[in-house]
Formats: sequence, structure tokens, C-alpha cells
Amino acid sequence: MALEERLADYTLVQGLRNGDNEAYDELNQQYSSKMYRLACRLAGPEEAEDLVQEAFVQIYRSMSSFRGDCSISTWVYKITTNVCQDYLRRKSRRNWRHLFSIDWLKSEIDKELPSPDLEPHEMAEIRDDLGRLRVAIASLPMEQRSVLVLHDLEQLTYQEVADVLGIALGTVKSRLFYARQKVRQIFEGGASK
Amino acid sequence: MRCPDRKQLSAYVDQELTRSEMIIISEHIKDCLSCRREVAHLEKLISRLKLLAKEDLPIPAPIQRRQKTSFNWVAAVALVVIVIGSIMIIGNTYETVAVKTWPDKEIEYYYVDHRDYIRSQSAYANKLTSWE
Ligand SMILES: [Zn+2]
Repeated sequence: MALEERLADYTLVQGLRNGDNEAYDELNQQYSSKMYRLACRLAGPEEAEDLVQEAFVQIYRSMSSFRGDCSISTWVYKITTNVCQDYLRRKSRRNWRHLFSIDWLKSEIDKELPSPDLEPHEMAEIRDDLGRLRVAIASLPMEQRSVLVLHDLEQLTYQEVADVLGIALGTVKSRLFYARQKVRQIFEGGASK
Repeated sequence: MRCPDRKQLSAYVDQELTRSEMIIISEHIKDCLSCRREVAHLEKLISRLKLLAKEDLPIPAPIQRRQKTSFNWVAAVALVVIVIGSIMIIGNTYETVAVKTWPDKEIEYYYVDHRDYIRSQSAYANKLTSWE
């Protein structure tokens, strides 16, 4: 962690511990959309909002136990991931299709594609790829989905993923490998049709 | 040289190997078509995942509002005076104020909860996050 980052984290934690308003605003501003996106991807959109609220409450409650041995970002990811995983364990009997509705998975990818000079059929192909990827990720077992989402979508490093999930670096490497294998089967299987 | 484990190739694409492992694999794939193919497939998958990473998941209104609401200092000072006043004079609890302040039930629960935390930690009854 860079020195400036550690200083900023330190200031934020002090602010939160003192009940400082600006610190709460900053925490919300920096993390609420990340947390919401993570919850949607890990546990589906239906309960994502409630899960984020629960995570915020847990963050506030555990403020006193934050020792600064990881970044605030890792800590926020950790709590949000735990809340989502607890929820998924409670819902373990439910098929992933109940968590991630097909409508949501197939919904129009609402964003700017990076190359506006693409031909319409190329854009359509990319959108189709992304739709299939969402389905593939949703269908992964929870442990693999968590690693893939944190690394490939949230762009955390292996070490950060290991810290967030409390697992060894080697486990991150192998879970990510198996997750990608499964996603590729679905992704490439669909592409050859 | 034998082909590296495919798990190693996956970590290679992420540049998550030691420097010497990275060098050994990059030398190997220069001469190995099958590993080069594997790496190309992985890179394509990862580039698509990166596109997916950028997608906008529309944030529902309550969370968004929490983000966008800016702190109104004039209202804050006024309310703090009222709250402290009511605690001192009428013995009112500030949760009552919170209920009045937040028309949205979910947010109301959330903020009352988080203020409870603050109060228990530091007895700052006047620290309200934001309101409209
Ligand atoms: Zn090879």
C-alpha cells in the first residue's frame, strides 16, 4: 500500500471512529456503488440492496476492530463478501437461476462499448458474448464465483483476493483457474454455435 | 521443456508468478504452439471480462440518494441545536428526530442503526449523516 493511501485510510478510519460526518459521506461515496455491484454479482440483484445495507452496518460496528493491517478497500470488500456468502449459504438449496433471473442476466448491457468505430454486427457479437459471460459466472459455485468476480471483474490482485476471502495465495490461483475453465466452456461453447 | 501446468499459464496471463517463472514461461511459449493458443484463449476471455467489469449496474434510488445527498451545514447546525435543546429540555431522544427526518423506512432503519453505533462509541448524539 502506498504511503498516501495509508494516510488517507488512516484519516478516514479516525474520522469514522469519531463519528465524523464527512468521513461517513466519504465512505459512502467511495464504496457504495462498488459494494452494490459486488453484491449483485455475488448474490444476484434481488437482495443486493439489503445486503449492502447490512454490510454498511457491519462496517460501522466493526470500526473499532479495524487495525489497519489491510487497506480500507480490502476490508470493505471482505465484509461485503462475507455478508453475501452468508446469505448464499442460507439460500444454498436454491438454484442459481433463482438468484440471478435470466431477464437480469440477459438484460441489455448498459454501457459504452470502448470502440465506437466497431461495425454494428461486431457490437452485437460483443454484447452477446457479455450476456453469455454473465450467465456463466452466475452458474459457478460460490467459492469460484467469489474469486473470479473479485479478480477478473473487481480487478483485485491475487494477494488482495486472498486477504478478502481469508484463503491462501495458491488457493486463489487454483480456484481462479477452475472458475475460468468453466466460464470458458460456456463462453466458447456458445461462440462456436 | 515440458509444457507448464495450465494453472501456471492462467497465473502467467495475470502476471502473478515470480519473475523467474514468468521468464521461463515466456521463453517456452515462443516455441510452443499449444501453449500460445491456450494463452491467446485466456487473454480473449479476460479482455471480455474486463468489458463486463466496466458495465454500469444501475444503483437503486436509496443507495444513490445516500451518495448524492450533500451535507447541509445550516440545517445541520439548526437541527443539532434543536436536538440538543430537546434532549436537555424535554428529554427527547434523537431517534425521534431521525424518524421525522427520514420518510423512507429502509433508510430510516439504516441511519438510526448507524447513529446508535456512533452514540454508543462516542456519545456524539449530534452527528447526523445527511438529510434532505
Ligand atoms: Zn507448451
